[in-house]
Amino acid sequence: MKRLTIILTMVALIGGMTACNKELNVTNPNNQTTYDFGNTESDLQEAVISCYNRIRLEGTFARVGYTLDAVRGDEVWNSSQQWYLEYDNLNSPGTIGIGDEWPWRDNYHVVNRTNFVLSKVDGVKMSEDSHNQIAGQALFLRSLAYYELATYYQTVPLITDYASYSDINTMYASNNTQDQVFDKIETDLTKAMQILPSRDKGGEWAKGRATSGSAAGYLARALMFRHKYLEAYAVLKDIIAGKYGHYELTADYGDNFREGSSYENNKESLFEVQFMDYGTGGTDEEWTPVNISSQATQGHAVESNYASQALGSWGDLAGAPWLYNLFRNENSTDGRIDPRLYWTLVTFETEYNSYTGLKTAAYPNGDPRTNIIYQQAITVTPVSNTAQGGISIAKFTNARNNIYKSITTGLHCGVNLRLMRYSDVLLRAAECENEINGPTQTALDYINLVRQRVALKDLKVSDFASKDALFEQIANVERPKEFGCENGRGIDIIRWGFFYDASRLNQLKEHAYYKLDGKPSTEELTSATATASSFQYYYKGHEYFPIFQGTLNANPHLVGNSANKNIDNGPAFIAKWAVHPIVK
Amino acid sequence: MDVMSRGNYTYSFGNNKVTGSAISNYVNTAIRWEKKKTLDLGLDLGMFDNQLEFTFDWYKATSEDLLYSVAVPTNAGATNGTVTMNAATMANSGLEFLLAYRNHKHAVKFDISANATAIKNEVTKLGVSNEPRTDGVSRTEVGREVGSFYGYVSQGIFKSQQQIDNRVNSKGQHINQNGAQPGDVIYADLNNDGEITADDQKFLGSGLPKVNYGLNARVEWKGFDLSISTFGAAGFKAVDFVDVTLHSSYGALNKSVDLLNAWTPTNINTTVPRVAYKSTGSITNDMFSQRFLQNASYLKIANVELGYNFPNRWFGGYVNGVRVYASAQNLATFSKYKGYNVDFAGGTFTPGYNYASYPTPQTVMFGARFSF
Repeated sequence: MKRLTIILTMVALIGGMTACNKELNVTNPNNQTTYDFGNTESDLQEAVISCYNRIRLEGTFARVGYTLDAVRGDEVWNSSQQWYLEYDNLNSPGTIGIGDEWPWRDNYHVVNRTNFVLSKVDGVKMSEDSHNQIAGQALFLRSLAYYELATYYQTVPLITDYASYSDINTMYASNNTQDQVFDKIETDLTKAMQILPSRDKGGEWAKGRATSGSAAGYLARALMFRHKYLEAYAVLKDIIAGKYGHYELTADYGDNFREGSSYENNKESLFEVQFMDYGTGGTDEEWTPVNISSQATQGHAVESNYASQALGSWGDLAGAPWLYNLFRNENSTDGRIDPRLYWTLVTFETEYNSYTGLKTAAYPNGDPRTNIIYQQAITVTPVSNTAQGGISIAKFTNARNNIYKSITTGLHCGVNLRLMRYSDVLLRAAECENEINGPTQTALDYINLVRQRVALKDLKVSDFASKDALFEQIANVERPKEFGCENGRGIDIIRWGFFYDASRLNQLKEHAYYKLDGKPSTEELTSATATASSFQYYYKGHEYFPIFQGTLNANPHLVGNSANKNIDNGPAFIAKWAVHPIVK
Repeated sequence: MDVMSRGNYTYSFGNNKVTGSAISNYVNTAIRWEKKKTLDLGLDLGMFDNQLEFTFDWYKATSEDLLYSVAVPTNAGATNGTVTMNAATMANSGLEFLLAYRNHKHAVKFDISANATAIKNEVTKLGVSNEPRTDGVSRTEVGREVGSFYGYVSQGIFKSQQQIDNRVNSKGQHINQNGAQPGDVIYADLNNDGEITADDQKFLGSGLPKVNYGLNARVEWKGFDLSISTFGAAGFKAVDFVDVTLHSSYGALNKSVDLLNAWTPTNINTTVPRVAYKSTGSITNDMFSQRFLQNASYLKIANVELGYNFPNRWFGGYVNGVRVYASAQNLATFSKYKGYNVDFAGGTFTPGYNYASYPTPQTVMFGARFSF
């Protein structure tokens, strides 16, 4: 009897415990496992946000990822003569994190997150619209990351399959050629362009999400990098015709460089990186890809580098005197200074005092220009770096916005970084038309739209005797004045082959003269009057940045690029394409 | 599989904050148990009615799929720098001997045994690309044993400035040792390039014993019993963190009394290098060289127990099995090693490196046992 009681008790207990099993099987909502993430549509929507988050890293666009391409060009120089020095002088030894490692590291974070989304999106049940939107945004962001990687580092591993992340051997990947990466970019953007909604859909599609217009714009850029002008022209004409959404130039050029809901995500913007306006972000600065915080400041540090050190910034990057004088050489039709100077560089101009409130050719409703910077009136040009001098840069800072008195240092500036605007579509269309058909009225019509916005007089076909003459105008007058000190100039001078032609390299050297006299000099410099030029230290192969030595050491399959090995990329370029000769 | 946070990835559209989630860490989904394959050939002999016993084993044990921290390459876009993977293989082969003699035929009964084990260790696979790894003063390379000591070769101290200026290598080049002054340690120019740099290092010795052995004996006579067990190891070196720190030539931490005899311009005939507040060059007296290696071969008297079993008839049946005993643990250690504790446990990749391990105490116990 006693034994039976014992057995019955045991059976009851065992039965009771197995029945309780379900109660004990609870997932921790705060710390769920990765095993079942990404299997629902809402999971993938969250994953898409993580892809956007990664373009807001220091090495993608929050600081060095944006500014490095500007400083390697001829419009911006390193006024602090440190931190960016080897990227201004184009002679990095490959052991400096800022340019050799961070953009690489951070762009591959974007690649990882987008690969995850793309690997899961086909397996989840959802509407066709949702599928197109999720896949399209991931394809765009991945292409954006690879565009940055291939134009900074030339030969990077092309990783597109999330399954390859499960075996670390495939992570120790070898380089792909620049052509292979660009082929993939073109394929992906072509697809994204077809499946994404346009900004006309409204809602978040007009407030920062990647649209068909964004994809089409970047597709044109990728095609033009490899001189595929016919194909690029077709895409650009479609954008202009409104096939990928309605785009227009804003009436005020300055609207593209200010923060606030009335300026950001405007009708000229094809894609911009979103940053939260002053006073609305969080408290944690996400400096490295590891600092992921739900309370991120969501700001950028471009202002800390571009603004004047006399007014409190880190004083690293200054505008070239050549660029300043390019603006001063041609005025609006009413004889007043080109407004783009006001929005590009911070200089004191006595003329601005007489413009304020006036109805001018560029501003028929009242000119906004003043000599008030950061809520203070200035009487001299503030200096970029207090030791070395230089002219500070206004774009993507709040110098002209006057919403606060002191410059934000750190990841705090809220001005959205417009990566591509409609004016780039127009000038690229002009460039393509010129490449294909020479200096035609069609080409000039595109350029004149951009010039009319700032009341510059129209160009005429008779002004340009040859294709080379119009190219010179576009490359060294129109584009620098429209896109001065923005990300993209470095990529432009590489794709035009300016590094591979002795006279062009000399021209770059002349553009990039600067003086280290502690003053914000604006006068035109020559080899006699300048201290140095950013391009006098250029060493062959270094138009690209070397792959970080630590990365190369850790991975035996990865080899260096032209900058690591000091290889001249000229012969390979000249074999395919010609460099336009200089036209005075 | 890993755990992940939700909603910590932020962005904004039209200045409205949105949050997302992602798998941030590199996850190794293929993680599995470590494997060990052992091949053992042995011989057990019992002779003379099992009075003499002899055992011999030869074994080869290959440990595969050892858990190892592999570096995650930056193009993986992950937030972790290393991931634990089954990425190392090690082979241990060795010989074991045991010789025992017991004799219980006479009034004095005794058992004696001696055992010895010799091990050879080799790392055959390390990480994804078999890159060597350095852990402090130990270095592990494929094809060698794990964690051998690696450092510079010291050759005494400079006695005079002239000696520094006139030092040449076999090619006749002057050997430049950055920051060297009279009294500083002389380092050998191993790669013969005229500069003392990080390339002038080599493998200096092993932290893994060549032989582990033990000697045990037990004697019984008329109710008394005495047992002694000892163990030891031979053929290895050790580096003692406390010793290295006490012999540092710089800074203001505690120093060994040996440094009272340091080189000074008036105390030239010494082997102890010069001391200073800080070093003047990139090559310092504190660099790891064979002068910090100690011969750690030892024999430890682990356990001695002397007991007496009272005959049961003394207690008339109320109490039986009475025993009194005295035992001592860790009675003595014979070794040239100057640290506290020669049988310390080093790290996986740093055998032979004693990072201030806690010394084992000597214990003496007296006891009595009664059964009722």
